[in-house]
Amino acid sequence: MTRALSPSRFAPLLTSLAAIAAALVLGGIFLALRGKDPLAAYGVLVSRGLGTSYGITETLIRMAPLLIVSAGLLVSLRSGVWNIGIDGQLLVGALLAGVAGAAIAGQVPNPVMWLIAALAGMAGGLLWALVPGILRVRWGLNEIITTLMMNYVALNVTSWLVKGPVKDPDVVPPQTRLISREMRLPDVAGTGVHVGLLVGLVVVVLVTILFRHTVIGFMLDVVGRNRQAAIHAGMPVNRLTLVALLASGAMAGLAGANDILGVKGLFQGNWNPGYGFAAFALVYLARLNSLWLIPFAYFLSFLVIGGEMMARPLGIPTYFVEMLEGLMLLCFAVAAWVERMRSPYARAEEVETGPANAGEPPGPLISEPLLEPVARVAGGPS
Amino acid sequence: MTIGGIPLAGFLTAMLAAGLVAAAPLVLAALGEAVGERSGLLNLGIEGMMLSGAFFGFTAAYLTGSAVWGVLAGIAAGSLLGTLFAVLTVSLRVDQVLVGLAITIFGAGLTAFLYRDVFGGQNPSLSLDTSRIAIPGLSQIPIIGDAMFNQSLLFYIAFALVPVFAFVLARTRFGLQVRAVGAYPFAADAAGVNVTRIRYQAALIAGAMAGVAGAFLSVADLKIFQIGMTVGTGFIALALTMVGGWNPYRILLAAILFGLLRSLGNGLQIIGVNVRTEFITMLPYIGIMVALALLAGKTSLPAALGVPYARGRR
Amino acid sequence: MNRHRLRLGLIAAVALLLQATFAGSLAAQDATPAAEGVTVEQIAVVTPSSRTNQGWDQQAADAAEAVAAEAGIEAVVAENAGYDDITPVLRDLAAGGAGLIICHASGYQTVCPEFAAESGVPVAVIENPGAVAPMLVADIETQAQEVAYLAGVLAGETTESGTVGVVVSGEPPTWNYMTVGFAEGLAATNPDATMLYSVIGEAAYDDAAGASRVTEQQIAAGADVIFGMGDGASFGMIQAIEDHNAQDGASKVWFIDVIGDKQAEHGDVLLSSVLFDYSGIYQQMLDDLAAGTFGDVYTMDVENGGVRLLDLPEDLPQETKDAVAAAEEAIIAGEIEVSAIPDAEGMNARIAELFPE
Repeated sequence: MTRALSPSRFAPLLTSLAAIAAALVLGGIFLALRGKDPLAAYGVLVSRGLGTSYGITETLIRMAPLLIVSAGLLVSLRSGVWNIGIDGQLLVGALLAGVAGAAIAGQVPNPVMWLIAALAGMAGGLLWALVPGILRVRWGLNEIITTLMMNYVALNVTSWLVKGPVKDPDVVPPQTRLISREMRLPDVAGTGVHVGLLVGLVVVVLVTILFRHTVIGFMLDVVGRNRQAAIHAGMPVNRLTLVALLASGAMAGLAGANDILGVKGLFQGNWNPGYGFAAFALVYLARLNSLWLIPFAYFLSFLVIGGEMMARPLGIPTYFVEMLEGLMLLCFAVAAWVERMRSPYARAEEVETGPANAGEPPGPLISEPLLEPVARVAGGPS
Repeated sequence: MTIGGIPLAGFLTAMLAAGLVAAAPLVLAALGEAVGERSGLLNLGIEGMMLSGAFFGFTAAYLTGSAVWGVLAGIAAGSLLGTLFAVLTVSLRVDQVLVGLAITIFGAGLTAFLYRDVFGGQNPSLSLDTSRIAIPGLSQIPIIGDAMFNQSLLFYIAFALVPVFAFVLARTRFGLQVRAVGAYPFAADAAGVNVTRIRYQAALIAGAMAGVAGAFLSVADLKIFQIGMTVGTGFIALALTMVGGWNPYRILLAAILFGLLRSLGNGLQIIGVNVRTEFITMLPYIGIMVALALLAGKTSLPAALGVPYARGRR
Repeated sequence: MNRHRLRLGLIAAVALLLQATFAGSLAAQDATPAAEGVTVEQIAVVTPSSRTNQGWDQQAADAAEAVAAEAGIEAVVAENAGYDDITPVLRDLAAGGAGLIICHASGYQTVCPEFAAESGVPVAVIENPGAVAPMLVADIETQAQEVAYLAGVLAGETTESGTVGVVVSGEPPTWNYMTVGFAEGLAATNPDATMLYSVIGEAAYDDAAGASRVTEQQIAAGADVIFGMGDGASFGMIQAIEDHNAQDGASKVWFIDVIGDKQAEHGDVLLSSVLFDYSGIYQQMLDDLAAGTFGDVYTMDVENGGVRLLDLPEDLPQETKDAVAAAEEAIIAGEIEVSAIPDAEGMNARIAELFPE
């Protein structure tokens, strides 16, 4: 199979941008139909989200967990593993991070406390991904359902823990002991943004290196692209699947730790930020390309922060942003199809994910010439 | 006879009834999903379709004062989203999980926005006379009579559809085609089955059933709409479809067990068994995972589940 | 090619940092220290959930608007803020000119004082007396258990079956306080009564369907008065009761609501409601801000009318009304002390003590 470079490496990016534009237009039409002024709405969105210092600062702060979570999701999706359980993994990770951090805060140097809390968070997320992981590789259970169920279990388990065993006995509401403001992550010098954002960027770069420059990243890609081929090539497919799921769980846990150490200082009952859906939108818009996560994470974060602010002056229900996220994904689906129709290279590609993957969960759409060696290793499917 | 000072017969009846009423929307949504998955379509949009069915069903019933119109509107809303799902996944061959999640997010946002916007912050309830229909004779049976045979019309329909779906899937030409398309799309195509058409029909059925499941909640059962009122029922239906191995009777069994696990938890609390609420609440979810693990290997996924079909390209 | 992409990523990262630097320097200018005695031009409320739920969120939003209208100032309601980080909302409200921000959830009791310290904007938090700071942080305490006690008396007087149900959509401190108060009032009035207790689910505040089924099960177990704490889920409880009453007119079931007033729509089943009226303390806060004395624990109790029972139905027997009135007087006089127990375990222990079986 020969494959030239795509006409433009940025064509996939244009697809995402077109999808976003289309969603904004459709959302605007919807607002107009409901008797609201869409231009005024988007005007407020931009002026508050981009035109104020706090809008930008808060957008950057919210970006950190989105980057970490979506980098993890990207690892699992590129490996053909559907981790729908990010929200649960994040909760468990955040709880453990909050408990571990508060337990040693003040007794060890802060950086040591952050490190231990971050590791505890990752361990929590990993633990929560381990159950569906084992069910998948030992019994072949579809992880879509099991990760989903684990979300509900996480909600109940963390809630029980935070009301009982790990509750701060000195306060009324169910929450863990507070890590005081001075002991939380410091701001990046001269900004109001804590260093979690840098952690997010580092995680993204690490994931990029994983897929571009390491053997294990390469093998994960092969498994995600064509499981049968990977099996034929003698790759440890089960172990790779488990690794992908655990890695993405650990990153979800790290994102939870980031929110505890950087923003909240404690784990709270009923707290469930639900980054999972946003992460899905993000990873698809970034076309499963880890570096592109960065601008799209900024955009989605802007949309959430600005959307909260847009609602009040104009009497637009806050649910509009959620609807817009769904519209964006739907428009993206159409845009991805248009792109495929226009590109002869990508057109040939979809066939490979067809019958060869029969019986497996659907593989993600990777339209990058990144994975060319797959065909070589496997001798090409059918 | 009493238990903890509570009359036993009435208590058991209520527990059974609560379990069955919880099971009914799950049965409806899961039956549709079973047809969809049999044809190779994995639909994570059920939650959004159910919410849409619940909202549009409620709104139509509110405006017309008729439960029938409400249910029809719920079906229409679900069907519309089911068709959208088919267009994107079957014709445009876009990833099914992506499209499903998109529909769920969109449906949740849309219905929440519209409920607030249309009803202006009021929380009206339907003043319908859709009260229960007691089936003469059967409803007089002790304990189970009142639970099973004194319910809304849609409740009976939900359970009556189980053998219908079983028959259609197992014994009719359409059912055979659905299963063939899900298992061997290329062979089915070669044998003259229109894969695209069958999958569209299956997606439409899945959407319509999710829509009617939503309308069951808002129109038949509660007569109110609440933002996010499905609270994950759609995802549970998805899980139960797999637990039931795409077999309508086993899905029925799984849904009833799930419903009863919940009402049993409530019952234990009422008679004063002191168990932490969180454990009772998460029991059904763990139950699903255990059931899946126990059944693993005994059921096989439709081979082409989640795989887009492109004619002539294999 | 790969190196090029990495470089692109680094450039993006640097650009973001520069932007952050810029943003931070601006943010530093935003903060203005509060002065002695300030006039508030705008009062803002942050609520975790929908302000139209005729419950927790709506009572605060409505009270703020009522007080603002009275004072001729502006009110801003930021609803559905959830339990996420609400700093963006707080900063936006402050930038919009809010002179007092009510953080209407016990979940906000850490973030809001921190924000106030940073920005200088006065805030009010729920149930965190330790955070009180002059002209900066006020604390709102609700003695809801006192009114719940009255509701318990009312239920104990009203029940004919001798079985009373409590249905909750979770076990947050506010619900637990009221459950205990209710149980004590019931036990004092009707010691032989049976009290059923059911939790719909963990944080099942929107689960109207679950609420309806749990309520049906309680009714079947003999409950003829249901004390329901649910927010959105409350509508499911009411639905189950209305459905039961329509089916079986002989054994009427009553509902006692909390926080809000649903009399207009559901007067037929509503026995009463534990009303939270925040307008009094919001007004007090505005006055104290003007006088320079803001920063205190503001308590809503039976005595000051911040919490009270919704007016009882006209046709209720006189002795029931008298019993409730007597209990109210005894609470005000300090003759009855209602336990304030926030946690589920303590609550269960207290119930077991009151209703040993």
